[in-house]
Amino acid sequence: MFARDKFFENYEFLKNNIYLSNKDLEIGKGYNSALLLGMLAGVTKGKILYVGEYGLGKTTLAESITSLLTNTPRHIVNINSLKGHPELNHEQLIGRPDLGELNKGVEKVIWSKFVNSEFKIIDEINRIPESKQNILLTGMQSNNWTYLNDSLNKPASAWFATKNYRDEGNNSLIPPLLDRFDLAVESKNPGMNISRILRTQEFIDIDAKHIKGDDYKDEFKRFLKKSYGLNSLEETDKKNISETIRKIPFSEDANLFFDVLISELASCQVYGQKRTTDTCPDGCHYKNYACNDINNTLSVRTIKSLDTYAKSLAWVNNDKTVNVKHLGLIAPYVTWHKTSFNQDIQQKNLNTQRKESFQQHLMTKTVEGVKYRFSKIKNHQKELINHILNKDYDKISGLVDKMDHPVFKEYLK
Amino acid sequence: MNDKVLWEEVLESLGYPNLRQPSYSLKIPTALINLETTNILINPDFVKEIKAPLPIALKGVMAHEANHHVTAPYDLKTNLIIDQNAGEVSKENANKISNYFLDVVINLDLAHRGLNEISSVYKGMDLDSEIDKTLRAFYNYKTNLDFGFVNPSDLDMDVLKKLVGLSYDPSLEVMKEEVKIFGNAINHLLSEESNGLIDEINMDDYPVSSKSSAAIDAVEYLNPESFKKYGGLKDYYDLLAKKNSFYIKKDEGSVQKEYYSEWDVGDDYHGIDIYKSKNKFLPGLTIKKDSFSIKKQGTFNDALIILDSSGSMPSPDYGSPAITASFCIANHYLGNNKKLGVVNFSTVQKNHLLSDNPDKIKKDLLEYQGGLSNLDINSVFKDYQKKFPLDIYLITDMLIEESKYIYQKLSKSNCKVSIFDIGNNEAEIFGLKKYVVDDIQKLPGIVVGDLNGI
Repeated sequence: MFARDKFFENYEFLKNNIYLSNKDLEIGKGYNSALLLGMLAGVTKGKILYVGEYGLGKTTLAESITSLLTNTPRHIVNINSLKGHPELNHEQLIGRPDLGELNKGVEKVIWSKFVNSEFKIIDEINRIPESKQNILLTGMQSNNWTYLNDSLNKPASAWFATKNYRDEGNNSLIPPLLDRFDLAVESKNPGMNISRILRTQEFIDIDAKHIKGDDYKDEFKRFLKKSYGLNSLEETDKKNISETIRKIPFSEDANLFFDVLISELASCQVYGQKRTTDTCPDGCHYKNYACNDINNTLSVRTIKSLDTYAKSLAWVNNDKTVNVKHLGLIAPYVTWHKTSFNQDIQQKNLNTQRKESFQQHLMTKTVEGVKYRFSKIKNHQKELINHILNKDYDKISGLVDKMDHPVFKEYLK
Repeated sequence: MNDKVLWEEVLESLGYPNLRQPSYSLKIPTALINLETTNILINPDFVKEIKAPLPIALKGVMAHEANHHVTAPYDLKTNLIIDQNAGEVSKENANKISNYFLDVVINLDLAHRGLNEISSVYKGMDLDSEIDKTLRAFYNYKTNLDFGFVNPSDLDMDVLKKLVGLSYDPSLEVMKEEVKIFGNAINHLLSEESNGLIDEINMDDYPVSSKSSAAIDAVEYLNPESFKKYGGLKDYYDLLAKKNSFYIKKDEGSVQKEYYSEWDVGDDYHGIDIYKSKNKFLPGLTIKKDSFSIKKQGTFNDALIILDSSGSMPSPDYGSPAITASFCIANHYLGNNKKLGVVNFSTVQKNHLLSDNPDKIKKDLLEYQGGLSNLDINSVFKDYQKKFPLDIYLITDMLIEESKYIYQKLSKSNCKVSIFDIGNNEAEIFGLKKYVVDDIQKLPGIVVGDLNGI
């Protein structure tokens, strides 16, 4: 069986038996964004943040995807995951001194299960106070963990985190932590129709509590096959999918759209680049572009995430190249959680009808706007690139002077 | 060539908007897009009747409908605003003006993108009313495409000149102004039954809930009269206040305090500080770190709004920034569990005592008198002094002679006083905080700035 077939078999299994949900992402056919993007993050060893109201399956989804993709019974996944709370510290998160050894004067670290695990799940991440969230930053970025004078380097792993909406007991996430998440998806209420099924359907158990010990993978795979006829994804399957995704090229139009996206979301023609510390000048000439609606810039990580997950959507739809639609669809999921919108745009959209969370809605609208402007200037972009390749400087400067969009100024930098 | 391929071409030209492929229905007269669901419906008989090759006619109609979503009006909110502004030209023809205008915006956009099939659609339709001829000639001139021949002697060149002078930029700020100029130019041509529309967007076709949502979303663009179809005056100003005071924060946050204590058997060992414990892991000797949270408290009192509702202040029925500003103040204090009093003064002065009932307070604020400006500050002191210190907000355009004594008296209270002086009466302020409001439209923003401590 091909890796691709196994991937979708696992997707369908989760969709029909564990995370019953609506379709809210259409690429050729409809998918549930939380489930699909979670599985894609799982196979590409990405980092995904599940956001939403309590009790809507964020933890279930994170643990179930991890369980199937790493062939680990869910109860073991749960043991190895980290539960966010205000008193979380280095000792719970990373490692602790071996007190017995320490009494003898020997400094030895006992690394935590979380650090040693081949996957990382942090449940309720925003219950960790802002001042303690930075403990996670280095490990998340480099898979390198340090405690006392010791360090531990682990292979890259998929990260799943869950975050409830604001309540009395939680905190906001610091921007560098948010930026480390490739994707953020809202886990939505399943709605009336699915609730009917939920009331009567018996849930499938992938806890497999009878499986114990360290050598559980083969036994769990046999359990899934025997109990549900499910073919498990092997490590080679995930590598194969990841490699296939990586090799999918961007179409010419998609590359040009990527340029426009970066020029509007990351650049500033007045102050050189977007910075959280700068405020757009009143009456800015570029006030009709997305740069005027947002406060921060796009990190290099975000650009890489856009590339990876636009390719992933092309792979899902079995397309040979990444097109504008793939990039336009994935861009809000990659950027919304790490984008700070200015007050004006938030106020203007305060009561707008929407299906997604407010921040995601703003980002979706922003990307739609960028796409709209791209569709009007793409022929001029092609023209300019031809002039640049032909080193026709008169035509280059003529076209750049004529075209107002920041992307034309960016091409010449 | 099948319709799927045509649709893909349309999507590519429009930058892949999130639209589903159109469906076909004989139950609609021509074609339409539902601005809420973005579903497009096309009557195949209508397309066949267009005197043009079928794929060209179909692609032209598809592109036209899709561009209603991509370019204009995009959503019901925008449509409502365009309708309202068209209604300023003619209430009777508002919907027609709005539809013709939006069609011009999107057809010019299609031509600009090279989706020239739209010209064949118009050329292939039987159009003979005055407005149709005028718009055909206009399209021919603006796009250099053939939208169908029109005899120049049939045209009113003045109308054409006016139409050619507009930009048809699809941004809301531009469209809401240009639709009025456009409407004034074509209104006299709309007396007869005209049929040059591929589709018609009509707010009446949408459910009340959708229209209400659109009105709520568009509230800052609507006047109270337009909004009245969907809600009352209180709702109108409540929404405006919410839009203005989005950033007034209710809670002042919390701080985490940390302290050290002795570890004991049964305590959580994760907080142990091994250095302070000198490597000893024993009850009574080992030190652990604990923490607790303290809520920061806000520092404001109950409040009193002294609102001028004299004839020189705008009436709430026609849009009053003073009411919006007062609602911002009210929401801020009520949201922080404070009480609020209202002094509504004009020819008569009404001192409404402190209350925490939002409906009553807002009703008191909305009561417009439209008379003279008479504020008896002594009666204010008499009725409210027992509740001092209060945060007092005075919103008025009173003249200098009247103001001086009032300011002097207020300066002797132990209250935090903010004066919002519309027009600047230049009276001595006796050390009080005064904002000079040169443009009353800016008043809500200035008030919110004061509330935020900016």
